[in-house]
Amino acid sequence: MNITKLLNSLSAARMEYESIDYSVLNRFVVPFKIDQLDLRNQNISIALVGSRGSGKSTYIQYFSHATRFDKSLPSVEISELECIVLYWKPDIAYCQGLNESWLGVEHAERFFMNHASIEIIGEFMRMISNVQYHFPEQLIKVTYEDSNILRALKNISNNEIESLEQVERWIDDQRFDLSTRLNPINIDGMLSLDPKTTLNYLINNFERDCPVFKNTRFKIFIDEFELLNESQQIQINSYRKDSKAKISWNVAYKLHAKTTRETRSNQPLQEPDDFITEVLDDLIKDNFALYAAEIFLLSVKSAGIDCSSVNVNAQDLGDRNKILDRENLKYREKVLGAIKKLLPTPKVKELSSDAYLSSSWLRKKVKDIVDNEGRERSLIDRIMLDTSMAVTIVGTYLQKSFNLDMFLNGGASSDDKINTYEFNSLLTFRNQNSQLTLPVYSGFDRFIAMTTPNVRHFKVLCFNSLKQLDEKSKSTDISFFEEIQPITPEKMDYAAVTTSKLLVDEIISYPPYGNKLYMLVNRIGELFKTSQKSSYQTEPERDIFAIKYDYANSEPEMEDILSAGEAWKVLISDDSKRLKSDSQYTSKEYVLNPIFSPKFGISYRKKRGIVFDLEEFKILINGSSDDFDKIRNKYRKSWKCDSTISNENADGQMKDQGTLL
Amino acid sequence: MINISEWESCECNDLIKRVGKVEYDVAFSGAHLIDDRTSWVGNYLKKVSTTTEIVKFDYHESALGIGDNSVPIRNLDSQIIPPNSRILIDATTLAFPELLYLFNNLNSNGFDFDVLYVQPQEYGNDEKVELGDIQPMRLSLDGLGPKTLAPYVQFSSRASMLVFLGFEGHRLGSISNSDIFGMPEYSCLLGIPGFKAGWENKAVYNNMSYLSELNIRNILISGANDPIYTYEVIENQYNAAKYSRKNLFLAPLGTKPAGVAAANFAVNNPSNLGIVYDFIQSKVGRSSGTDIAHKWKFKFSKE
Repeated sequence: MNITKLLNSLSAARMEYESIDYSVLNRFVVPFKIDQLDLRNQNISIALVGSRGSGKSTYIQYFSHATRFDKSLPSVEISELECIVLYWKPDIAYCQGLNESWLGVEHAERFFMNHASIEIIGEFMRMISNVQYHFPEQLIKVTYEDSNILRALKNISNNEIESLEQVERWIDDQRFDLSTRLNPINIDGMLSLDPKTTLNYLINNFERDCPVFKNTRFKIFIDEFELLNESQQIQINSYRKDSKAKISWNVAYKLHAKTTRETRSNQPLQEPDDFITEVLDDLIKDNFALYAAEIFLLSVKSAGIDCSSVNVNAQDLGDRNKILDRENLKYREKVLGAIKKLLPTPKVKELSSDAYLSSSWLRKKVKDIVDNEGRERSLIDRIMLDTSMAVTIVGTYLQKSFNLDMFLNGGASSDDKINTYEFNSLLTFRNQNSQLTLPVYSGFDRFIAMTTPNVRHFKVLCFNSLKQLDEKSKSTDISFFEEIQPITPEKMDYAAVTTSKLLVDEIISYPPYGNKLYMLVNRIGELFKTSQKSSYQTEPERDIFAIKYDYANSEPEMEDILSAGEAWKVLISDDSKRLKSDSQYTSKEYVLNPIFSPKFGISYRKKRGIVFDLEEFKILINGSSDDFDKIRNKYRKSWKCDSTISNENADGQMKDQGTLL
Repeated sequence: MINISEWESCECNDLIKRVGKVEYDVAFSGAHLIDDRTSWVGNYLKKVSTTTEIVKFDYHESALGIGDNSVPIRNLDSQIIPPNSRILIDATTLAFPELLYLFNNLNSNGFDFDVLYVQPQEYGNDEKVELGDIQPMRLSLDGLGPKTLAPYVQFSSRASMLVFLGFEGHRLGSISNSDIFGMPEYSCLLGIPGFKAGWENKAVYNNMSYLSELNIRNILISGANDPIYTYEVIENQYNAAKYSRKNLFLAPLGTKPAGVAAANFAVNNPSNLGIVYDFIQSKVGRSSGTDIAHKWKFKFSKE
């Protein structure tokens, strides 16, 4: 095996595989905090939410009968019968097409209910088949000709089903029948099933046949709930509202997606009385570096290259009983060690060193400052002895509070300043001078910082980094992962920028506000890039924004766009108060997804930012290029982005800094 | 069913020079004059048709607005114009859903009709480049996102989808990102040759990342302005899907002549066919100039 073959294999595997039976046995890497969210433990209805790519469907499928009772498992504990999870992913293209204004309320509902009922019957029968495989004695009566479950199925199907073997064919026939009834609309002789009643009826009769299930709790999860039409959500909500410990209706949807809480009655769903929300992202964030590393190593292993230093295998990673082993320090060090060897992270201090930053370039900048300060030139050598200090001096020189002696005297103040501004200064240098190759986005640690909790983005960064290896390295045969040549920071950085550009370009294809989100991200990215490029760095990196707005729905379209941005994980918000504002309105602070940082040359760390006026922000979404230019120029001015020609000194006086930066 | 019986193409200037007496009783057109060719069409329709009806489909209401009237999609077979009317449909200004529903209505009422389409001299972003990097081609504004068009609603879990590609690659991307369609099997139709030499390269370039991401291997070609051959390509895909007991979804996001073929095919083959459209809004200044005009004569026949 060589890297070229590995890349081809990984590329093909990037298409998400979805098995028909929904089992994720040996395909799911158990998150470390899974015990905090065993979907079967809650008696109350659950709304499982997670951002795009967080693996909601796989997570549910892990707990569903398809995996718990997978027929390839050698044995299954009887305790698995305590709670059985059923999974239904509606056919969204079909469900959304059942438009009430076209079909009328009654018909639209009937088509949806029939679709739901038929698919849930199918899921229930798959459950019986899986459980029966492992517990044939407990389910023996199901196979009898006079079984209650068969009688129930006969009733449901108007006697079209005569044996359990015929159920699948009947379901297929019903799907076909439903698909022929819309063009033209024809409901003559059509089934009229209610999914909740149907499921209850099946479960009751199943229990009559198999008393061992008397105390079994059944939980049905409906995936992609946010994509159902509102009336369909309302119907499902009514079932959620009536959920009991015995049979509960649960949903899964994208984090920040808009869903309704209305029910068919006049009592909407209330949290936590009727349901609780569980956020999958919170679970994955924990220990994400190790989790992402394991997933990547497993992908590489599946493609044919194993690790020699540590045993990473699908069985162990999919076994929640092995979590303690995975949390073991030695294992952790080995896994992270293997991936960090491939993707080494240069420290900020190293980035400032001669290895990446031209010392002659830096020396000239230091010399200009020493001259401007009227100090002896012998100081230059002293400053250059500590390149982190030299970088920070150059990066912060235009600050009003700049004090060369503070750096020269050393101590906590100097260290603080360097800690805060060294990385910021390197970003500025990189933006100002394209000749400098400062790989500020390179290394495993930075990849993790930019992608948490999105495994897909992390894998793409690794994949694109591997692609940067030269042809000779890629064609050399290797047996183990550890033999892959470490990727240089410059190549990782290039991979990060390439990935970032691709992902920014992808935004335009996020319906229904792709164009506007694309425009917003690019314009905000450009503004922060303008700030980062400025020599006048008065505060750490600007990459946060807030809006002077109270989010009271006076601007519904803008709020919809922001929500869509969050649902697509283009924007990330929190309630922290990093931004100083004279207004009380900035209750929410946003950052662009950190994976977009390399495209714009801005920071992936949350530091400082902008508080936009409402009108200003609306221009970023909808305004013309000319209007955006005005905003950009306003900020250029306020950030003194042109201060390379004449700069303010510590007393606020203008002084000539023509040669500096 | 309806089929193209004649196809006439000529320079726009030649077509307008030939205008003599009024040729049509009613012309159906879109509302927005957004570029040179839509203005040209507006002017042409005034000369050749006694009346022009503005047509607009309302997705939320599931109704086709024709002039001051609104026709619910479920009553699409109702007669909207007097018998024996001579009809011209302008495909230049109308979006795909309007073409689909007009074709359906005229077919239900047994009308023959003509369809006009005017090619532009150039497509392009009218905005100045404000953001440095190469940008995705943006000829349109946000729409509703991908939706199935009634009554062409089908299950997508056992289906394949034929996407017609145009210059805006993100429209294919939005279908795959919408999570609406559960089908893993995509095929694509590229307009080759394009309206002009080299345009097909733009279409391939702008769609490349999505073609690769979705691992689309079945790439079909048909002339960008050829609805007759495009119809055959669709028919082959439809039959292939039927053999494997699958539904076929069409996503006519490419050139309008290809959309005309898709609408024509949908009228003649209502079963096992789903249609997806993204309802993008064309930008003002989407194209410039006028080039060749096509007129296709559609004949109604009883099946």
